[in-house]
Amino acid sequence: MEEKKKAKPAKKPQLWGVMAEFETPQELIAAAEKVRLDGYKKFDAYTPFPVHGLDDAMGIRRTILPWLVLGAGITGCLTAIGLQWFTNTYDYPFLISGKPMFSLPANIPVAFELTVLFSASTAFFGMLALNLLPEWSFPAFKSERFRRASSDRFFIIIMARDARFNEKETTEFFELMDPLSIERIED
Amino acid sequence: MAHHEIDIKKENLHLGDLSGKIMTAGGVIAAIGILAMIVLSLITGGEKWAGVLGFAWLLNSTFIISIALGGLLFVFLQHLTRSGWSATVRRLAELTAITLPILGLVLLPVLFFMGSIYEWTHEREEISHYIGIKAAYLTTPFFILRAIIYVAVWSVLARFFYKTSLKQDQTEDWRLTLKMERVSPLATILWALTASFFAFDFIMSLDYHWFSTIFGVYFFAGSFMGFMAFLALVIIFLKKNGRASNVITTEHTHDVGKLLYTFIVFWAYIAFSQYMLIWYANVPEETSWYLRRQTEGWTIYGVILIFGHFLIPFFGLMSRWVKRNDKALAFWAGWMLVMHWIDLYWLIMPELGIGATSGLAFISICGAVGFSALFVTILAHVAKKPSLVALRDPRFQESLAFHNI
Repeated sequence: MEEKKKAKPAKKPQLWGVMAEFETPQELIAAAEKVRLDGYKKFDAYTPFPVHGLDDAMGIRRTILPWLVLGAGITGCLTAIGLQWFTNTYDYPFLISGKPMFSLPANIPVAFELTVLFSASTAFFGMLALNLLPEWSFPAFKSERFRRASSDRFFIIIMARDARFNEKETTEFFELMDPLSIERIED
Repeated sequence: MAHHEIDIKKENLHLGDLSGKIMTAGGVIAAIGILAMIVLSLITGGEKWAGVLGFAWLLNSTFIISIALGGLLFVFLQHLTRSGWSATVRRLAELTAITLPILGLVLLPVLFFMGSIYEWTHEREEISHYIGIKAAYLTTPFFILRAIIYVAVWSVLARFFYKTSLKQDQTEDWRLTLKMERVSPLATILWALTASFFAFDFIMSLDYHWFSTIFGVYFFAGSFMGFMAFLALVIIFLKKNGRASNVITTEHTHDVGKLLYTFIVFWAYIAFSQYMLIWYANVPEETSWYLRRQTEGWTIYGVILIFGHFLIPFFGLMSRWVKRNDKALAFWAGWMLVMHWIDLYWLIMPELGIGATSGLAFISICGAVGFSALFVTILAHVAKKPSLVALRDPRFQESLAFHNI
């Protein structure tokens, strides 16, 4: 029994990425562009507010979310009409105020509601899923400096899992941009 | 960021000599179109010539008034919501709305032909027998008085917002914006009341048996949609002719396209809300209005509206790139203006009682061309001198920097 009580050795911290801190959105955009042009793929920028032009500088492609929402909307509409047809016309035919058993005008309110419901939930949960959220912990939160990402500083982190990543070279690459600070982030 | 570096001084912000060209061409087309409408009504109308001419006049004057009314409401709404994005395009709405005092005069022949247009002007016994309370409301003097009130309210409001905005061009006084913001809630309420009752009086009372409380909202939905389509066309036309082409950016046309799209959907929502309740309740005095529009060849217009006014543009204008592409947006804006006209045609013409003849359609189309040209001519006249953008609006810089994410 004694050997089982032995504490598990703590996981050795591994290098997760290198972070550079910038003072202004303009510097951040210029830096993001350099990072992209240098061939890095796995990097991200962190800002206290939306920065116009950052998406282009980082080379972020447009999201596929609108197509998912369109698909969900059509699915919702067809589900509603199918459900109403099945319940009221096929499975349990029930005559209401002399209207036809199956008639589009009567079915449109429900079709509209389900279209909106399916689309809205897909937009919300799809957005979370595409952003890989919720994320319970994030390595950069260990950094004191990174806290200012939600008030007045702008950050870029190049992740260690990027194919081009090399701690020494990436750090030197950042140094050329003259950031306020460079910090290695461990997970 | 590139869009911050627009050199306003180099921008051409005035219609200038373009105004004269538009007015010449517009004036000629307007004269031909309206003359054709009048002559054809006289020749082909037979005994009912006054009715045909009156209805065609009513339809087409309502068409251009509804667009100007949409512009008036657009101005109120920008102040009501303190919108930053719209500061570069608001002047175009102010200019559209300031045509309303003149457009009010276009309504005069409708009052002149009232006896041939509105059955309630002579079927007095019938009206008091069936619907007593309406007899007090639908009388010729009261109708004319209300028409004067509507046009007066629109004119005063349009002038106030236009003049105040022009004053700001000169004085750069930001307090004028606050002044307009304070008036805008009351202006919006007055707009809602006058536009609704205008629709009740001029369109709904054509069938004085019928009533629909949502009818005013229906007219509002179509009018605002019509104005957004018109605004998109105006912006694209101006940019093509080198006016304000860097000030009004793709971001602004994108937003105009979004509002156009919104009101296509809103119109459908309201149109269906009106239809469904009447269809479900199936009360003869209410369904008769739809029955007339589903017989005598009118059915096709209803089908055109369902597809052309809603389903086709719903998918056609849905995508982001369509709204950001000038040619694509211009196509759908033109399409929607035609649909707005067909919507009014479908509301008004079946009440004439001569069926959906192609002659009637042709006379109305001649009128539509003529009245649209007249409207553009008036607009080019009022837009000749003033700046096409409210350059001294305190939110102008915010609007220039505006960016859709």
